[in-house]
Amino acid sequence: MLKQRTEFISTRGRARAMAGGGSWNRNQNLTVYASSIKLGPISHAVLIILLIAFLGLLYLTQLTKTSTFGYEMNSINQVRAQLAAEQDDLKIENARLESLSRVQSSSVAAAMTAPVDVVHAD
Amino acid sequence: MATQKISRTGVVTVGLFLVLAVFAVKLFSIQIIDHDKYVSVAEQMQTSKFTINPERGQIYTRDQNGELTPLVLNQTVYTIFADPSQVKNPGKIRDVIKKNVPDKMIESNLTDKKLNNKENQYLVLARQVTRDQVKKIQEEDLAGLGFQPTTQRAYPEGNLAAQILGFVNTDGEGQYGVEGFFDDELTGKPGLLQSVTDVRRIPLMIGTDDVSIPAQNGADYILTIDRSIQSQAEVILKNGLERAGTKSGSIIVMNPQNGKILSMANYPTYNPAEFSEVVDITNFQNRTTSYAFEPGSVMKTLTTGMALDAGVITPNTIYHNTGCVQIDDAQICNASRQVDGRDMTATQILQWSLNTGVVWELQQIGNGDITKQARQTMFEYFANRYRFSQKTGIEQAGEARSSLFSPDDVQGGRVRYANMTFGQGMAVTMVQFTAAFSAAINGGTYYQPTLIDGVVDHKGKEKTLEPNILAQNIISEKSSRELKEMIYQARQDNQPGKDKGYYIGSKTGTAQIYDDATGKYALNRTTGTAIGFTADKDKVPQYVIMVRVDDYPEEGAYAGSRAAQPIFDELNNYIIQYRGFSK
Repeated sequence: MLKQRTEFISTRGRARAMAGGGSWNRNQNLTVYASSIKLGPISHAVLIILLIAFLGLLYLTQLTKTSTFGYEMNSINQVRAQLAAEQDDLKIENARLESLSRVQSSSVAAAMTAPVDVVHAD
Repeated sequence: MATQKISRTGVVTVGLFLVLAVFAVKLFSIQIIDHDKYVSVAEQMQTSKFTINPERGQIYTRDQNGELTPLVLNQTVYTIFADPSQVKNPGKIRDVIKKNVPDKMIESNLTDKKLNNKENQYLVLARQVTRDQVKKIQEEDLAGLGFQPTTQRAYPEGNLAAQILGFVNTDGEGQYGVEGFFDDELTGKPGLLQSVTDVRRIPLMIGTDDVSIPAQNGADYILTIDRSIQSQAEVILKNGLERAGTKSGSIIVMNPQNGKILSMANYPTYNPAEFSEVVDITNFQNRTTSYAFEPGSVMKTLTTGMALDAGVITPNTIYHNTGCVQIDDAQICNASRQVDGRDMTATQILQWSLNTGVVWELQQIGNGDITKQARQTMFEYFANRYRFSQKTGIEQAGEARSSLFSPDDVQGGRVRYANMTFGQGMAVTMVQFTAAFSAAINGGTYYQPTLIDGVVDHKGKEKTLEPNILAQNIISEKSSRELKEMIYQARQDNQPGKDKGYYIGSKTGTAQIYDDATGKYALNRTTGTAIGFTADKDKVPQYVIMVRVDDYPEEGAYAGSRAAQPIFDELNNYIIQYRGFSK
């Protein structure tokens, strides 16, 4: 499993190499602390398996989500079709109420009087 | 020699490797070698194709304010079916169906035997059930019942313009009228949905090969007809035919300034919503377009137009009325004999409807005889200028052809051409005649008769169609003006003061009906016709009305004036008031 080690690494050689090109002073000691956690081959394998499993889960959740969208779309389409059918029925009802035969038999038409002065071409 | 001993672990390991090797080989075979085959099988199992049905185009007309008024709409109705394998209470299903949709149920399928047949999964119980009725049935929550939506045509105006509209049969095909003529355009184009589905065939949209092509709905059509005029024409026609004692007839009203049809009425008629109950299929036909007949003396108007245009007569040219004329072996006489022996003007030929007068006009084209040249001239006018040799192209299914013999035909002799001058020996449809008459009195412009005012395409874009001029100067403007005045004057002289200052011209006709059984014209069966126009105060014709009354039963030559003319006058009076014309 994980091994924890603390090391001191002298970077003098590197500092020396850089001495002429930057703000480093000659003979200055520099230290850098690297991570002491090291992963072995088994850890790598486990991590990769976990990563693959995670990606698999992610894929599955996305797939399920898309399927859910499919159901939602289907349900919305059904509602839309129902509303369209309802709208069609209302349009038909409206047109029937405004139809000539309906207008002619309406109370408004019944209350109308014949024109007094009509000149016909006999 | 030392024997090498294989440990049990080794045996198991080798065995496991062998099994794994078999698995690997099999997996290789399935996943690599037979990859395409299994992908195809999987796709077949998981993917479904759905046809998306387009919505059939609707049909409108305009009211006086230019607003669209629907004549044909779509209505969603349902087919109620049972899945007997799921049915739990057949008795309840039967009761509910009988209670809610007694007029739409299929009673023979509501038996216990059929509803309990567990091997069947689809049994239709009722058709054309409305949404409200379905809601009531759904409230009962009956197991094994299904509701399948479909569309049917709805006619808010009932029987109005039934023959113009046509109907849609049970296979969804347009029949007769506009429905038949524009069936493809009204139908639209189906769409396609291809998708992975679940076990209930609900599309899931998770495949990479999904196809979704939306349906293209059919175009909506806006008709030129005026529903008020159409409605009155139908009522007046029915009453007029009953008064005349005849069983069938037709009316056409057309705007001569653009060819737009304002009305086409036919009687008997039918209800397109109940087309399956019609016994006589001729009721489906728009007989203003699908029936060619001998028009009779109304043809004298067009013969006179020809003679005016050919320059052989003027409105005041004198003709000596001999009463009868001999053409080869046929004697042609007038119906009105009280003016025999008189000198008559060309206008009076129309007023008295003299057969011999129009024969004389044809003879004038041949310098006194019905020569081949005279017949060729007449054929040129009738076939090409009045366009009787071709269909009009009106947007109605089943437009009939006319019957017109050329002088080069063995049937195109002198007697036939003499008869043709007064509308016998040839057959035309009402729409052909009305279009030709309109051109003859509007200044000589032949507009294609049309029923379509505009189209609303599948994107909802409305397009108004412009009048289509098929020919100009079919007769000269001067001849047209003179002819219009002659027709007006003939009517005024026949019935002085009748029109109270309105500029109306009309001509009636009575044609004997050829009897196929005897090979002769029947004496007691005639077709009565009337055609005429009403103009505004500037004498510009605003509409043309033509009336046809079939099989007038009285003997004599008066079907036109006794049966067709009263219908013409009544409808004309209505339109004058409706349109509010000034004198």
